[in-house]
Amino acid sequence: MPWGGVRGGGDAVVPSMSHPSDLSTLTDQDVVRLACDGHEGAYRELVRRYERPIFSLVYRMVRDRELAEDLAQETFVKALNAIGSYRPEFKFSSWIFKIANNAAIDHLRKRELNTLSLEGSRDATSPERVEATALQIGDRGESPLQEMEARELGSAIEQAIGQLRPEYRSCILLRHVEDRSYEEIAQILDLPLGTVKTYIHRARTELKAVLGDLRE
Amino acid sequence: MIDRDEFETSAEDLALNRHLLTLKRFTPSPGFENRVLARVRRQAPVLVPRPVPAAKVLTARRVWWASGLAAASSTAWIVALASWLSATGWETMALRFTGSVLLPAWGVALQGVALAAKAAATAYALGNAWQGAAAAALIVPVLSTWGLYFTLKQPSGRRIAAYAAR
Repeated sequence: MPWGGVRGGGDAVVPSMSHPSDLSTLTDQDVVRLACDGHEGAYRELVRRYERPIFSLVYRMVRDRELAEDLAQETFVKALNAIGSYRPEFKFSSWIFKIANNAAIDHLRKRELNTLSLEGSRDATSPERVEATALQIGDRGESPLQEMEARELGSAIEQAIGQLRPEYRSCILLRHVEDRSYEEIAQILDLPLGTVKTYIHRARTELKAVLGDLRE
Repeated sequence: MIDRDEFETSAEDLALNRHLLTLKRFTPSPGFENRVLARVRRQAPVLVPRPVPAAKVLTARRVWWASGLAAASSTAWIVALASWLSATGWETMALRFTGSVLLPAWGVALQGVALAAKAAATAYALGNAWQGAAAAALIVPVLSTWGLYFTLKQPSGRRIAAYAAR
C-alpha cells in the first residue's frame, strides 16, 4: 500500500499507541523501532536524517545529479520497505550506507559494461555502419543541471576523488566526509579491516599525486 | 596496518587534509523526502495479530477429520454404554433408566412444545416481533433433524472419496 494508507502490510491495523511528537531527539534505534510499529513520522525522520549523507555519497560515486537522486531514492525505498528485516545489533547508518554503496557500485559496473564507443560499434561490419553507430556529440551549451554538477564537482579535490577506483572512492568518502570509523567502513563495504586501511592509504597516495600534478 | 593517514604530517598530507575538509554534503532537490515516502509501504505493526480468513482454517481435510472424529466419538460412547449395560444386566438398567430419565424428559419436552406453540399463537395474535422471532427459532431442531437425515442419506462412497482426496 502506498504511503498515507490507514493500514499497512496487508490487513494489519495500525495500533493506537502513543508516539513521541519530536523524533529528532531519539536515537536511530528508537526511530527504527517506531517505524517497525508503523509510525509514519518515524519513516519521515529517517529520510530526513540520512537524505544528505546518502545522496552525497551516491552523487560523488556516480557524478550525475539526476542519477544520484534516483539511486538514493531506491536506497531509501529498499531500506524502509525492508525495515522489518533490519538487525538492531548493527548501526542503522551502516546498514543504509551499505545499501547505498551497493546500489552505486552496481550501477558503475553496469555502466562499464554498457559503455559506448565514440568511434562507433566494434561489431560494425562496414564504414557506413561504423558511422551510424558512432555517438554524435552536439555543440549545445550545458544545461542548468550540468552547470550545477560542474560547480559542485569541479573543485580540484572533487576531480581527484572522481579519478579514484570506486572501492577507494567509497572508503575515502566514508572516512573523510561521513567521518566513519575504519571498523564501520569495513562493515559497510564487507571488507576486512586491513583491506580498508590499505584502500584508504592508497587512495590518499593517489589523491596527493593528482593534487600535486594539478599544482604543478 | 596502523592508521597511518591519521598521523602523517608531511606537507602533502596536510594539504590533502585541508582539501578533504572542504568536502561538504550535497542536498537532493526539493521534494526528495515526499518522493521517497510515496513509494514506501508502511510496516505492519508486529503486536497486532492479522485476522486469519475462515477459508484458510476450514480446509476440506480438517472438516472431514472433525466430522470423522465426531462420528467416532459419538459411536464410541454408545458402544461403551451398551457393553456396560450388557455386563450389569441391561434389562433392569433399561427399565430403571426409562422410569427415571426418559419418561420425565418426554414430559418436559411435551410441556416445552406446548409452551412454544402457545408463544407462537400469541405472537401471531399480537404481532409481537420478538415473540415471533422466538417462535421462528423453533425451526432450528427441525432443520438439525433434516441435516442429520441428509448426512446419513449420503452414499458412503462419496465420503470415502473425500478422505481419499486428502
